Amino acid sequence: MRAYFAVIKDSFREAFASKVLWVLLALITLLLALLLPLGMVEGVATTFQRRDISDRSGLLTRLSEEGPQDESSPAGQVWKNFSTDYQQLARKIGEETNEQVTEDEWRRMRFRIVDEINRSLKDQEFYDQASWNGVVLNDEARELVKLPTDSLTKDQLARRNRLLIEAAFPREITASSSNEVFVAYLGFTISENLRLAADDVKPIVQQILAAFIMIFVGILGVFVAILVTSSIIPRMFEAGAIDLLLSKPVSRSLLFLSKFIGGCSFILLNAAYLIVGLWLIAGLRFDLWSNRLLLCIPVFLFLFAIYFSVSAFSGVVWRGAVMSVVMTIVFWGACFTVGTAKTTIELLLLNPTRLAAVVPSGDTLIVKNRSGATFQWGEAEHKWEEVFAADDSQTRQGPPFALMSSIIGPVYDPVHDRIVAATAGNRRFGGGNAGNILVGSRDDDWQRRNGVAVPNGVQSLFVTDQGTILVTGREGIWEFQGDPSVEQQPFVISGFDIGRIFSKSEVGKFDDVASNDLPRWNSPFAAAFDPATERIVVYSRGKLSLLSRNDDREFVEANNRDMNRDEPGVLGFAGDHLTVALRNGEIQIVSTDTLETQSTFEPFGKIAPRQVVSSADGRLVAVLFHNGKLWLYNIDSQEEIRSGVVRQNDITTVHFLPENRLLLGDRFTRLTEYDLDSFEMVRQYQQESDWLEFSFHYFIEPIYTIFPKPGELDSLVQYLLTDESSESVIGNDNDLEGQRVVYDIWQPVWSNLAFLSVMLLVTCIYISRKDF
Amino acid sequence: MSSQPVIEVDDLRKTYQTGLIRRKKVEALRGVSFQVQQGEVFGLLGPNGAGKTTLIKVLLSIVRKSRGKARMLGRPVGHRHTRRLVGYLPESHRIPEHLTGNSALEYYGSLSGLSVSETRRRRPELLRTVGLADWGKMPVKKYSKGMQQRLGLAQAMLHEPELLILDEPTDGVDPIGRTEMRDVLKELASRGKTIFLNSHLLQEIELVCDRVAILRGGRLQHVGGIAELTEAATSEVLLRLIGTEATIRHVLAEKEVLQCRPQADDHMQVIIRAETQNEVDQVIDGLRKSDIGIHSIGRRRLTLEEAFLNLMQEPDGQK
Repeated sequence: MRAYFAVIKDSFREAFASKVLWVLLALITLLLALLLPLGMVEGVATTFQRRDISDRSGLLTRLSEEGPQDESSPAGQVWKNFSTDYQQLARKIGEETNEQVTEDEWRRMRFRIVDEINRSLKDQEFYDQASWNGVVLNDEARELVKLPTDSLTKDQLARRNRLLIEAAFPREITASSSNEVFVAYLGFTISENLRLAADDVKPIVQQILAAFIMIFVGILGVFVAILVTSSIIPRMFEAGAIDLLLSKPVSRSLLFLSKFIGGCSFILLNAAYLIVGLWLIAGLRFDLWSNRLLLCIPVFLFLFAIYFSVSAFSGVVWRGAVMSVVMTIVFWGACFTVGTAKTTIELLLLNPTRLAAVVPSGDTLIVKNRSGATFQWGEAEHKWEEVFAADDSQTRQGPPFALMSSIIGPVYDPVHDRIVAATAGNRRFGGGNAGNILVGSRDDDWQRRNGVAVPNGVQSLFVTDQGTILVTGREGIWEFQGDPSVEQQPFVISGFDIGRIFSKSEVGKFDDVASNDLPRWNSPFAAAFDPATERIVVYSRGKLSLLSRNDDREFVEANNRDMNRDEPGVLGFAGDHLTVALRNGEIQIVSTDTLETQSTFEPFGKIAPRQVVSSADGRLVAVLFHNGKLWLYNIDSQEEIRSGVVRQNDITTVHFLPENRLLLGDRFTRLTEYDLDSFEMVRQYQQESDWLEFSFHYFIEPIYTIFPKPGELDSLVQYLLTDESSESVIGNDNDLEGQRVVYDIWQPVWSNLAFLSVMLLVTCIYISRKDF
Repeated sequence: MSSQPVIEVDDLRKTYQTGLIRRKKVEALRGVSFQVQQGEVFGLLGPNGAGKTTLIKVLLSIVRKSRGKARMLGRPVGHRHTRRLVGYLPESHRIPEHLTGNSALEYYGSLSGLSVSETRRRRPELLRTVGLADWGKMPVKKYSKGMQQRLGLAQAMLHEPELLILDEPTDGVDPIGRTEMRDVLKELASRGKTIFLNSHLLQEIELVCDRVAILRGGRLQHVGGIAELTEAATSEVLLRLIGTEATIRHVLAEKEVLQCRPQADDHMQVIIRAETQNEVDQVIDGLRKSDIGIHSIGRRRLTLEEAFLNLMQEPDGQK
């Protein structure tokens, strides 16, 4: 082994003798020196930022309606600080005038509301006890209002006024944490806008660090490394140099492999220096001692080794640095093209067509796909026929945008033999836009009828056994009264969503059926309904609440339990048990009576769940994960049902049928009915693949499978740095039911390892057979 | 060491395939056979493209033979143990420029299986032998061509091999250096080491080698002692005469005089062309009649260069 160690040692010697290494180390030092003064300073939040207002439309409506009427109210206090022109504009909303708010005016008002509220922060006369009577203040605010206004500093005054506003409009404004941190450079705050809640710092710094490392090390670093190491192998194989080496009593293959390892030492030195530097900065400046950051060093070494194996092979065959670089870039381009083609086609074109929910509707099997389109099974043509389609071309969205569409439901209403759904606006962006109720009756050939607007922020829709429609969201529970299929008159201004101000329809309305003492829920929010007992379970930022009807048919809290969790979850509820599946991959089976956890499972690691389904009798529960795997559990026998589920990585939706049957969706639009006792297939709903599905299955996917995936090691880095194994495609990480990209962490590692081994093996065989 | 040949090739053939699509065959060695005995200094001669370097590379298994037999130090070529006993200096070798003389010897020593401490023990003496005693710490990129050759020779000798294969070892080395290198080779030979030398410099070969092999077009033209090659008599007769130049020229007026010049010892060196013994006798008679003394007379032997050129002018065919 002495000879091979000598080759590796010589590579280090070569690296240290290279000017390029020192230039790179100097550049890295400079970069670290520039980053070192970055840090954070603690402070209190005073001015409102746009993102603090969770419901701008609602806030604007409340201020406009209540402000001018009663000056000695919180809304009145804010209103009096509005600029005159803004007051004039806002009056149009509050007062029953004949003047219509134009789309442009509405947009301007929404845009300016934050600035207008901030005017109140400097108001010394803002607080008087009468105006704020009845508003529940938090401890910090109570302390501040006790102090005489004259004795308050400018910041304290702003803070006090801000807390007062937050307390008065809890549904519209997100409460700020008392301690906030500002991003600072050399101790000076960079911008008031760069302000974070103390708890948010760690994940945000981790995300920034992950992005920074992926760009600086994963892309730039590897590219530079390919350039500077491209000559190592060709130089070794130059005439005059290789003769001398091969005349020595050494194995050709091991000689090459030693040199290859030696070449990797170059990137090892640079990556180690940069990443250890970043680790120290993250630790010293942000108190983020993430040892997993150091694991990025071997990951990037591995990433480099993949490219270097191509560079080395080219260097051996063509014995020139230029060819090494060219071939490596061609290889990178090929990997990028194959990876991007597969991901783009799958994510944007095919995934939206995957089934998302099954809605057996009497004799008809209705399904919804991920883009929100609804289909019924046409037995004659043997294909899915679209029903319940949006008639307005403006609301129908093409595939790329379909990801963002959000339809709640549909849910089958057996009493009226119809399906009911709701559009939820763009709730996934956290906005406060309202949607409409949608109804399609069998008599009407399931044609979609737009009903009245649903209350703001609705996230779930249920139908009771009596055919009553219930909707829930963070802000309450509402029951629909009237005929939902009567279309609402168009109050909407040229398609512009103006919130709940126009929901005063005569044709039907949503009654608030949440009792007044029910708390306001927080995000992340999820709710489930048991039609048999008409109970609702709400999961809100780790707190479970069981709600049941009182004598006035209002929902009251029957029980609650704080699970002390802050990640989002999805719920399944039937009979005596409910199932809580959390984003971290954990499943808890909870007793409905006590809300105590009876069993906990983590069947697929940290993969986020997509859907929880319970059988009608509450005996069985199924949890579908974002990696397409299904977990089945028999609550009676307390056993996981492990066998029988086919295509475990590709399951799209699940639904229990009566008589111990299970419907499983897989591929894109295929649905299979199984007998749960034998797990034998009972029948299959499968239409012919279209050309895109066909070419994806038989061309793109096989190529992608055998191709190396160096770019996908990013997911491993992301996982190492953030401990997240999946990420929402459209930005709201609390939405588990939406489309998520599941990082397949180990698959790229194995695939790349296989590629690296094959490349090295081929190069070794070439070298051992070649005459030099 | 047994008395078996150090190098033994028999009907050795090497055919290269060139071109990716229209494969062309190039026969670099076409059945070469010879042996090199232990302690010999053996020279390999031949014009460019004769197959000399291919032959050396086959011996070192840098290139694989196509057919025939090739053995070295009692084993088929390519055996790793054999390579441990061989020191090789390639033609136009390149020692990595980031190394110094000292670190280069450490590197190549380790590749030859020596420990670093062993290399460090042998290094000073070796560098002195090749005339680089003061250059050990200097980076190789500052070395002249000749110095690089010396360092190359040092690395080839470092692990005290039984056989040294040197491809153009004096390339770029000045005349003094060449003399020093020759002395080193002679000293090695005196210690029983076998030296296999490939050089364009025929004079070099003539001065050092015991035997030579001459390759031409991949075929062996000649193998044997240098004397055998050069003793072939020419039509030229070399005379050392005592007398005046005018008298000598007068006597030899009817002969083709190739050279006639005075020597330091008042003798005249004269070269004439005389094909037959009768012609030589007539010349002797004429000289003696004119009272010209004959100090010595003899037919001139070929230089190695002449012998080599003669061989090259012969029609292609194995001898």
